[in-house]
Amino acid sequence: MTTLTLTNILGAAALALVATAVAAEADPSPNPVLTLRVEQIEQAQGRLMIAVFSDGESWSGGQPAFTASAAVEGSEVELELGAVPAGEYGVKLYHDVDGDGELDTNLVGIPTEPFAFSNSAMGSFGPPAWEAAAFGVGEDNTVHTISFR
Amino acid sequence: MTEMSRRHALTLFAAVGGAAGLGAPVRALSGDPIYEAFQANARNDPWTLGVRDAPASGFDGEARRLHGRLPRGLSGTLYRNGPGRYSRQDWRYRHWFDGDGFLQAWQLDGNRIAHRGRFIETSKWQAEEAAGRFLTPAFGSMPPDAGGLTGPDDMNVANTSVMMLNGELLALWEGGSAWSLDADTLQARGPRRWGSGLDGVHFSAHPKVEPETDIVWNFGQDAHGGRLVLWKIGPDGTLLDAGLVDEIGTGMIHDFIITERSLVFLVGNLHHERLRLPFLDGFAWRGDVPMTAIAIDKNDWSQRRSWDLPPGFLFHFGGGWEERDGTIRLDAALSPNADVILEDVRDIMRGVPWAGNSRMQLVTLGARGHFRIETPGDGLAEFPQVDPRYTGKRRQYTWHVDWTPDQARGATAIARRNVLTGAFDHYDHGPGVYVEEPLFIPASRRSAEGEGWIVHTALNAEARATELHVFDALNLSAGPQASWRLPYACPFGFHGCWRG
Ligand SMILES: [Fe+2]
Repeated sequence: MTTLTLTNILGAAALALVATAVAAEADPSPNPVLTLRVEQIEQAQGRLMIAVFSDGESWSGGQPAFTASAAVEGSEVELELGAVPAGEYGVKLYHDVDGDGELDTNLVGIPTEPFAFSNSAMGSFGPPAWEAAAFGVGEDNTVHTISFR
Repeated sequence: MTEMSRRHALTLFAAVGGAAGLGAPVRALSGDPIYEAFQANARNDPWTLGVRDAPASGFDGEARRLHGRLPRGLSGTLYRNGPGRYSRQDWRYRHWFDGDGFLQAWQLDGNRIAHRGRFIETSKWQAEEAAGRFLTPAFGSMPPDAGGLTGPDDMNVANTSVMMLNGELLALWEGGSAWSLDADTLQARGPRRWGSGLDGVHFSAHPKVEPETDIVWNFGQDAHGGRLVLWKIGPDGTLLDAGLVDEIGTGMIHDFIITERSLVFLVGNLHHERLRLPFLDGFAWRGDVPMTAIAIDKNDWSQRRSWDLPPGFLFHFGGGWEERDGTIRLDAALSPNADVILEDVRDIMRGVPWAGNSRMQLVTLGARGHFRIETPGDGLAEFPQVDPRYTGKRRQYTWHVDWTPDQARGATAIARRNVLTGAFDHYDHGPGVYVEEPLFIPASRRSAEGEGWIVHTALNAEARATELHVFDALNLSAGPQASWRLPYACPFGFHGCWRG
């Protein structure tokens, strides 16, 4: 069966999915820590595959600022993405339920694994607009919550 | 199976991709004009009983016999499906096809008829019942503050037809999955799963069963991609094959026929032009191109024949067959335009009855690419049905609802036409009895074509009640053999099936 990657469906290019957050380097600067909280996960298995964007241009088909993934063991996942510069961010994620590293799709190309975006925004003809998905990270540590519907 | 291209994946996802960015209408502070127009018309016109919201808890009742007796041998359940919920929070859908699927089961048992009506507990129904408001875009409407979609089944109303498959009841839509139901309790089990990679794939509402093999053929249309999904399902409900056929065109397709060799589609002139929500708003009439007929080889889906026909639009076929030289003969309820889906069914939501303009036409698709279209009668026609034992075979009869253009509230009569001789048999219930799809039920497995009964429901507007009538299928003009009446009026439905 045909499967598509997050890259194909969600519009990021050449997304290298890695097993841990890559932005969590030790950082002497006082950058705030961004934590992602994902709720209403239906199946306690597989991994969450996460792409984080930091501007509208990359959101619409460019490279993510960084990617992350996390094992799913319950209905919620909290993942510290690490210290990030203050600014605007947008998240595209899907639940790789079968753990094959791809967003599965059906015969006509519609995703058959759950996906979601920051602000729990939903798309119109693809991912939601950057304006709908973007959230701010200020000087303080931030927990951003995304809910599968 | 066809390899997906990235473009297809994106556009397909796009087709179902959600509404948030489209600017759903803000909830009006004043009343909804469509809702209010319906309320006003409903006060004066009892025809509107057929397009009013059914109670959320459904119906449970017993029909009262008006006259006659149930014929011996006619025992079983008539299932009918159609939209049943159009409004929430005083806001009403704009399009008849948007309403949530409401299943009716008429149980004919001895000389009693028990009736149940239940909303089909789709994901959409459950979420909106819990929320108390509409949450998703609909086929022809954008409710206030409608959210997005993760896929078409988020907005699946399962409201179009119903079929029995190896003891399982399937409520059918066309933009997504069939919805599986318990045939006895009418409780929903969820979207029908056929196997890996097929979750949520378009499954249309008019599957055809091959009489000899009981193999079920169906299609699904990805109008944006100009593609069809073809489905071949065994009588035990297991998938035999599914795949994509490209370059079908973008005209809306609701029904098809099978012959012994072919799957035949008429691709009408209501074309998908652009992706937008509501989905219907992305379609437009294209009178400058032909309507095409496409016959796909059942055994090799890459093989096809096609014909260019005059522009037209249709929902339903009667049936068809293929002659030895490859000539295909079919009949269909054809319209010269798409006013019904673009205008009439919107009027219905305001409580304004529909006129309709479809006529049964006989179409011959010649073996050498020529064609002929004949219109045997003067009347308007819809909801054609055939003896299911003759699906795909040369046959005589089509039954349908029948009316004339001056009947603004639609059909009050049922008719039978012999497609070989033109002979016409007809019964008119008279003003105020609005008839629904006439379903043919064979008297026995071995009886000749047409030997059996026509069963149909109807809204008796004066009595403010839904009725069920049984006819000798070969003698409609003699009038109903027996008639029953419920103590209440049900929403009009689209299609039904019989479980003997
Ligand atoms: Fe139909």
